[in-house]
Amino acid sequence: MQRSFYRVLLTSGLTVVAALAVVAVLGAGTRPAAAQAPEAGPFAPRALYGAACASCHGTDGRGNPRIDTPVLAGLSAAYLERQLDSFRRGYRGRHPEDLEGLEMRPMVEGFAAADLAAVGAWLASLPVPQPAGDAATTGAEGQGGDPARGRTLYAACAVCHGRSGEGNDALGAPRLAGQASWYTLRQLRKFMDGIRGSHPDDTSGASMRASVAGLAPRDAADIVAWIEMLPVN
Amino acid sequence: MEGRISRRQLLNAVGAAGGSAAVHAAATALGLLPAAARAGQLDLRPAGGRARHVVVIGAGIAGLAAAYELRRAGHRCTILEASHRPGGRSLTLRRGDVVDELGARQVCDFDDQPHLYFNAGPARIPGSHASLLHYCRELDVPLEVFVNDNRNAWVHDDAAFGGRPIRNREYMTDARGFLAELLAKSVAPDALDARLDADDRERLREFLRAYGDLDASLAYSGSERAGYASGGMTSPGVKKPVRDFSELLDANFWREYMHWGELADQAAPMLQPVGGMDRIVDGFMRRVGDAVELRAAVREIRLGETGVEVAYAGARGEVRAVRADYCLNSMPAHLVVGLRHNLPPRYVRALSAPGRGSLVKLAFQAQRRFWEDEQIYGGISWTNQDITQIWYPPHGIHSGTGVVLGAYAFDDEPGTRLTRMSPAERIEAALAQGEKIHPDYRRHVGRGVSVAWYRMNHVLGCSTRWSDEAMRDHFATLQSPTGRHYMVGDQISHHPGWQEGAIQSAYHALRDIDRREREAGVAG
Ligand SMILES: Cc1cc2nc3c(=O)[nH]c(=O)nc-3n(C[C@H](O)[C@H](O)[C@H](O)COP(=O)(O)OP(=O)(O)OC[C@H]3O[C@@H](n4cnc5c(N)ncnc54)[C@H](O)[C@@H]3O)c2cc1C
Repeated sequence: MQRSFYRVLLTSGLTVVAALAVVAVLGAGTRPAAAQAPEAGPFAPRALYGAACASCHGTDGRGNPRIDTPVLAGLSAAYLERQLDSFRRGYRGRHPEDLEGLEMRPMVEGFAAADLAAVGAWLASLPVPQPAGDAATTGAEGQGGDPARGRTLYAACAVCHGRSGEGNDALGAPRLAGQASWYTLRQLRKFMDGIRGSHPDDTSGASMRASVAGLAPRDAADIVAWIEMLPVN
Repeated sequence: MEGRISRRQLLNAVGAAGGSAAVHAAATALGLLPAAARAGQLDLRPAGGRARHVVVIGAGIAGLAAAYELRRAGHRCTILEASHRPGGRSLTLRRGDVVDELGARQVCDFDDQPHLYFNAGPARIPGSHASLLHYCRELDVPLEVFVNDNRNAWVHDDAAFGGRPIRNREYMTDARGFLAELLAKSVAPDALDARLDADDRERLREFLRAYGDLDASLAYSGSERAGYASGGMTSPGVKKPVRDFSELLDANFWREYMHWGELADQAAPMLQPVGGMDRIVDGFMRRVGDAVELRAAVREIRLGETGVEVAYAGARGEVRAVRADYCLNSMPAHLVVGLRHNLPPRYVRALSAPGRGSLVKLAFQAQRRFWEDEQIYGGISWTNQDITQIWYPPHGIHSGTGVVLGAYAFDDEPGTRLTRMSPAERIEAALAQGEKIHPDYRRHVGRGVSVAWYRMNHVLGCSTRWSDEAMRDHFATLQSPTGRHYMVGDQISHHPGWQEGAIQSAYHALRDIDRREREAGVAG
């Protein structure tokens, strides 16, 4: 199996240029060479997250609206692993209009699947952050959606995502409660516009895309206004 | 006049009462000392028995200058820097250096020679940036002249002159000649009566003749200022034919870059440190490097009653904490938003207000200084293409090889297009665009390396874009402390995109700390 170059860098010396680059960035002495098996050590996923993800995704996966990054903490391990893997395989982040996805895809290309899974599992173990403040600080785009109308529309979403937006791994549906609403809205729009979920290998994306096909833009804003009100617990 | 005290007497009197600082301030106010000498230096009160511990986030120019001044005054500093290197955006690339751009890591492949470097961030210093120049003096960083404006360089626009470059001097001369002729011929008594008398009108005509190099009949028929088409040494010089003004207008050059050298911060002469802009960083590191912890990425900021607690991930991912009396935070405001923190909502809104610019620079190593064959020594060629400009190094003249800047996109549209490309795609774009200006470009240049600042790790955007509205509503909030936490950096100045702005923002915060300490000292 291909070993992630980040992981290799955390543990030993390397030859290729790209790898050299990362040695310099992370520090060749990050861990004593060959002192530990790459899989060992409680810091591994956290260190990988710190080195590769934290600048953009924020402390412990809390997300950063200014960098267009979603909340990752508290999403399920299975969902995170699948999304990271679909970026890695190019199911996600290939569509020319998926601007944030295009930025994300090269970030995971150097990773081994096992490392992505480990980072995903670690993020899943973290508490869902409480919303940091008002709309301006959480980056909600002020769409002025109507939550009452959204509540009715959400009944269809609840079948997979759960009544409280808690998500359902068996159905491949992520948690929605606690996600930044600007992000949920943007992704919903991407599914509606076929920017996400249209890659032939992206089966779960395809089913989401099919589910939202009949929504109008206003519906999306209303649904997200309702999701925003679901408590994080 | 009797009874009136002379300036010298006044200064002596002030000195007796307030010491030399008061003399200095008074002399400046009287116009006896240049203001720049004052602006360049900060005099913090010595800490004495009230030494404080200050945690500085970020080892860029703002953080390093702040730490240097705090130390000089006798305070203790801890500088936490997320990157593997100090300097922040003051980044000079030489052989083997890593570009830590997210999704586009590169290693610089230039030959290992002192003149082969690329200032991928700051590159030029105006003479008016007194604090930065003060540090160059203080830290023994030798400077040399940087050529910004060069009339021999090219102006290119796909929409004008058949897409072929023309000399900057030709464009300037013909544009001014046309304007001068137009105006000189319309200087009429009735139009200007109210403002100019007959004598002034005559002098205005002479002014315009001189300005545009018009002939005695006030016609512009070309000028040697544009450079001769041929001759001029052993045979008479032959003037170039005059360009059609409408064609000059076709080129975008007049909109902005024609006037580049008129900007106070861009006017000749400018300066650069010998050997690379990061020589200034090296100088600071010699003084405060022992207090800098690299690969120390701040994750949490907690304001307290009497201090600030900062948690950070050390090089092995372990979390550590520092508690300090004050925190000076130079990390980009848009990244502070992603930290765990207890900053007040109003402050977080302000941190979220400014936009992230998308400056992109790219450089090649040239195996032949082909621009010198074209009589270009330093300066900038301008183009309407995404690369926007090509810079020729003012150092290493006639040395064979050189590093040429192959792209520097300022505006968001071209910057974003280049940012979204892979490094290899950027190189190809820069070659394809550059060869419209220098036909043999591809033969001479290679080993391209690029930096898209929008994607640079721990920076993610430069320069800070303050809209008028954001400036009005939020700048003052960020310029003031919240508790004992101060935002600093060029982002918290009216000079974003300049190292001088970074230093001045640090001074602004340090003066406030100085004031608080003095007041607390008096009260305690
Ligand atoms: C392309 C370009 C051209 C420029 N041209 C010029 C020029 O010609 N002349 C000029 O004077 N200026 C120029 N500038 C501007 C100049 O680079 C900046 O004004 C100056 O370097 C900013 O210094 P700073 O200390 O404010 O910020 P920075 O240098 O950005 O320092 C901030 C530091 O914070 C660190 N950091 C970020 N996150 C964390 C974290 N979580 N924990 C710890 N540390 C963190 C960063 O790694 C960085 O080192 C240019 C900039 C660019 C990009």
